[in-house]
Amino acid sequence: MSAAGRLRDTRSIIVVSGVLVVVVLALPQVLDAFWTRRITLWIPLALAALGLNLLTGYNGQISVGHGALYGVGAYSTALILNEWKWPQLAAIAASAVICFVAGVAVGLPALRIKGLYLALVTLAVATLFPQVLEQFSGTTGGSAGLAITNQEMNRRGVLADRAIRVEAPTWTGLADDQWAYYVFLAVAALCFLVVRNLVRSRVGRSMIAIRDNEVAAEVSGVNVAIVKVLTFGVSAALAGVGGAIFAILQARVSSGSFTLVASLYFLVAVVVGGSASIAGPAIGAVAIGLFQDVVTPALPESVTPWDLNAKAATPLILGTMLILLMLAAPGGIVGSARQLRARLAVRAQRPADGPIPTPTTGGTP
Amino acid sequence: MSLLEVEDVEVRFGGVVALANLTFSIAAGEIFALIGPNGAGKTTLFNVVSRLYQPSQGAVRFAGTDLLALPAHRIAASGIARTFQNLALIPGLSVLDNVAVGAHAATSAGFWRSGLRLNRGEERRVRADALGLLDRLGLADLAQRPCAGLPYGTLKRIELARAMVARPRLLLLDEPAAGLTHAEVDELGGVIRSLRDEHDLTVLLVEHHMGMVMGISDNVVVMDLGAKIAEGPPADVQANPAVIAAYLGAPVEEV
Repeated sequence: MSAAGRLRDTRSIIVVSGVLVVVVLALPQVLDAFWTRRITLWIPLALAALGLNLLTGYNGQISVGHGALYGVGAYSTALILNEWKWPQLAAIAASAVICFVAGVAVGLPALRIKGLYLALVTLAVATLFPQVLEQFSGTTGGSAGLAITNQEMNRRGVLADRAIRVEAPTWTGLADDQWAYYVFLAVAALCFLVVRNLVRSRVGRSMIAIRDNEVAAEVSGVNVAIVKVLTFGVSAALAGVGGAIFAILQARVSSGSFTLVASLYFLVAVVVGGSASIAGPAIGAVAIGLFQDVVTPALPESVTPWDLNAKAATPLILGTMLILLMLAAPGGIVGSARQLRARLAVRAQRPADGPIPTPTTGGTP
Repeated sequence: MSLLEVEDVEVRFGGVVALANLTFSIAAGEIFALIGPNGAGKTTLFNVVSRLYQPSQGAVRFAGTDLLALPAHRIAASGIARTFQNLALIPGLSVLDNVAVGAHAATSAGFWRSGLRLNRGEERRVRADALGLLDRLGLADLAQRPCAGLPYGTLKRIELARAMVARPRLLLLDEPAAGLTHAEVDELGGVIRSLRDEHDLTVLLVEHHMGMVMGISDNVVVMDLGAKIAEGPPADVQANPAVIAAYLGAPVEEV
């Protein structure tokens, strides 16, 4: 690409991301409380997808068990807040550590088994997790769930259990919902930044090397086992942060939220957004959020010819769309955008620079 | 002093003996060639030295240390780098990042330092080294491109750059000339020699291109069916009747 073209490209990236930041920050000001709460719930989804993308997209280890790791994060936070009354951000951090350990444990079998067999192990984790929650319903509340509460003085001056909230400090002048959005957005932004640093580093290169050619990675000095297990741990920690935020936002956890379906939604978010990209999981989470919160409620409950309940059929619709998307754009939204940009760049370059320069193959000076 | 000693190494795959009692040693600073017909066990020996194959008997020592006591991922740090016969590049990385992977053993930033960007100095150094080598091999223009779609000869040179970036003491080249044009082969011979001179390198070469082998090697081992059948300077080996029978075929007239 010519220098001028590259400059134009950089400038347009800065403009686009600037506009995006403004829009993302303005959303709670524009939307009402209901919609602010809705879009805040997309943040944990994006975090789980971010973690899964690190593992599957960059490191090539397939997991359909991240719903369970998300759940471990959620239950850790619920229990820490209920039993020890820690500050919410501390509970999130502690959940990340717990999930890191859980992720390393789930990742250990990955040293021996790969690909679809690893997917089967994580599938077992995903299906077992709700059962385990039921089994220990004394602690977890089982399918009825567990409310996350605080004792607060009510209006009559009596101490009573009250669902936890994210309280906006008065100096901000924000409503609680708006504050929650900004706080968790900041947490997510931090996580995305760390992952971006990671994938563009020595560690990121070794993750991708392992995904693409394990022998080449090993011969270059990469300790494949360590990188794989630690990547699993970091991936789980990110899912755990997502689960922790989810628990706080809902002020309740129940086994129904952490089934295999949750794992599959994360996978869909990664694939739709674009695997092995940083923006992919966020875009995928927004796409799924829009689908669940905007498209699904708008669907009719009865489609006349067959009296089909379109609302109940959303998983079917989502699945069909996923298959079609994979056929049309295997790189997801980010992949398609990159392709489009490359095509536009070539077209923009052609009249100015003449034919596209071919790379030189020979001739050391 | 010999840098690499291969002593009585045997590798078996089931009933097949891929290497039989192979013994030779390479002096520091040499360009040492391993030749022989397909299936002679040349690549098998590379894989033993890289610790990808476990020999059923024998010893391999590098600068006095027992290589067989190290796991595969520690070989690079001990000062041995290699290329592959069928290329082992990473399609998902740019040319520059492919070369940077080769610097893995020479760098140390782990998850913490990388995630928090405390690795900036090291990253800058790695990129400078990688770019320097790409430049040295005439590939600097391609640094930011993905590997996918580049010509074969270019990919071979990228792999060479990746092997060199860790500043190895011993470089294993598995058929570096395969698939190259005549002009490229001549040039490659020159590049290997000058890399050896510039970087104080020892080179172990597996190659079928006799012109290049005879042109640049100091010593040659000829293998057939997993065993060594001759050893010595190129001129001696070329005249050896056993070598002619097993591999060269007729009086050497090509080149």
